[in-house]
Amino acid sequence: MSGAMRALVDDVLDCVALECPEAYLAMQRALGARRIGLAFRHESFSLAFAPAPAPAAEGWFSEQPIAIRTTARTLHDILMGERDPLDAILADELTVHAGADDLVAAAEAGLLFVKGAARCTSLAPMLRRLKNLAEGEGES
Amino acid sequence: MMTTGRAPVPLVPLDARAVGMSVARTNFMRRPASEPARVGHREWLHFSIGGPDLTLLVNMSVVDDQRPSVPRGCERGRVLVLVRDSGGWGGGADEVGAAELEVHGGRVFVALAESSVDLVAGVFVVKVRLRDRPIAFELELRPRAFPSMASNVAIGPGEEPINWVVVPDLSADGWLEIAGARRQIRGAPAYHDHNWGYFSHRDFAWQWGHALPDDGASPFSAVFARLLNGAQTETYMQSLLLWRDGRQYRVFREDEVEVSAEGLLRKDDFFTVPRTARLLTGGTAADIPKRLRIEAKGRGDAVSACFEAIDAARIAVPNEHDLGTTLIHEVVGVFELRGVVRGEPVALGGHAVFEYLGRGA
Repeated sequence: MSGAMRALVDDVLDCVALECPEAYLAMQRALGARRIGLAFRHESFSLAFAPAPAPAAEGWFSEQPIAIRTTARTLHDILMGERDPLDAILADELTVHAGADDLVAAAEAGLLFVKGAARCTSLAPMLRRLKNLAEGEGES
Repeated sequence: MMTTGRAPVPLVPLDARAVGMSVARTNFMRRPASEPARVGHREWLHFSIGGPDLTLLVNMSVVDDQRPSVPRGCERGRVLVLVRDSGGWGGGADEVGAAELEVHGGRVFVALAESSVDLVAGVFVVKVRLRDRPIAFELELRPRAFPSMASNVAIGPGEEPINWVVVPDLSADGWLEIAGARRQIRGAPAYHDHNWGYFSHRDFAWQWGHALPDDGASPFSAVFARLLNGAQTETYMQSLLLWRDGRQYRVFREDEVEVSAEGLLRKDDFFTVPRTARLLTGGTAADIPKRLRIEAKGRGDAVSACFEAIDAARIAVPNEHDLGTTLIHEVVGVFELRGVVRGEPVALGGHAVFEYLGRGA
């Protein structure tokens, strides 16, 4: 499944950018130059949102990413309203390491992402892909 | 409380064909032409079926798709289902793009992905099969009351008016399947409303409810409608409508109606549809009155009513005008109404569903 989560995250972000650009741009503004490091059970990668329209200059992004570690199952359950994020944090199923300002920015960006996703009509197949990844995660 | 007066005299039986024709003449899709001169139209068909042991709510909506990536003139749809039984709440939502949407203006026909509503010979045929939740049902809903229509109801300065038709009493037959377990539905009480217009949720809220008697011999049914500003500090309109033997019997309007709220319904958690919107609901604090009291009197008639909330779930509706979220609380409870109308006692006690609006994140 290597690369599958990265491909899914890219597709979801593209979907929000296309179907609800207002939310995508607000999310981008909330994050600014911050990078997000995402670590799942079998896959880790980094996200950065270049300021539009010009590509970000070298050195523009922060060196220290907001580090998020979780599983496809936990992410699926949170997005599907079946798990409270705070409960997942308390159970060590979701960890977020960052400075206080970065945590606030990440929370705001996350909320804006969900607002955008809620306005997408083509999100359902991607949630099914996430569910499949969550089920595959338990088998491998 | 006034309960004196003559016993109600039974009216002649309803002509089912006349009821069906009346429903068909008032209750058709108002969607504009395929090349609309303006955008922002929204329209939905809402059905509430069952009683305290099983409550099934389904809402099929069609709105102009105003997202910038979508060509002008396209619509999008949504199927929302909430079901409450002894196991608690369940449900889900299907978002439907223009490619899977078929709506016929001028009559009731809406097909959204694998779900549809059709009006055939005065009978609503509702078929739902959610794509990502194991919930499906097929129901025929026969109106047992004449509809009531309200047109161009003003909802505040700078806002477009809202329009609706309500059918307060229907009989539902068919089946409901949840996670493979099928149950038959026979003669279940039901309610329907159909709303449309160009209004937004920018500064607009409602308290809206319907009640049918637990006692099948009771001839009464009731609908309560109250439109308010977003902060719910100003009332644009309010009315309590009573039907008797399927005919509109008394409408208390505006100054004839006084509404007061007592207490708050507290819950540790709210079931929310779409499930992906749970993060947008802003926690469990909700402005849901534990009891809503309605006093109505005028022209020698007087009734007192109270809706006591028992349980609630949430529908999260993304705003079109900003990135906010409007929450529709679907609240099940018990409705009691007593009084005198036209010199006759009126009594209605039974299952009711009220909607209270709120704001999410």
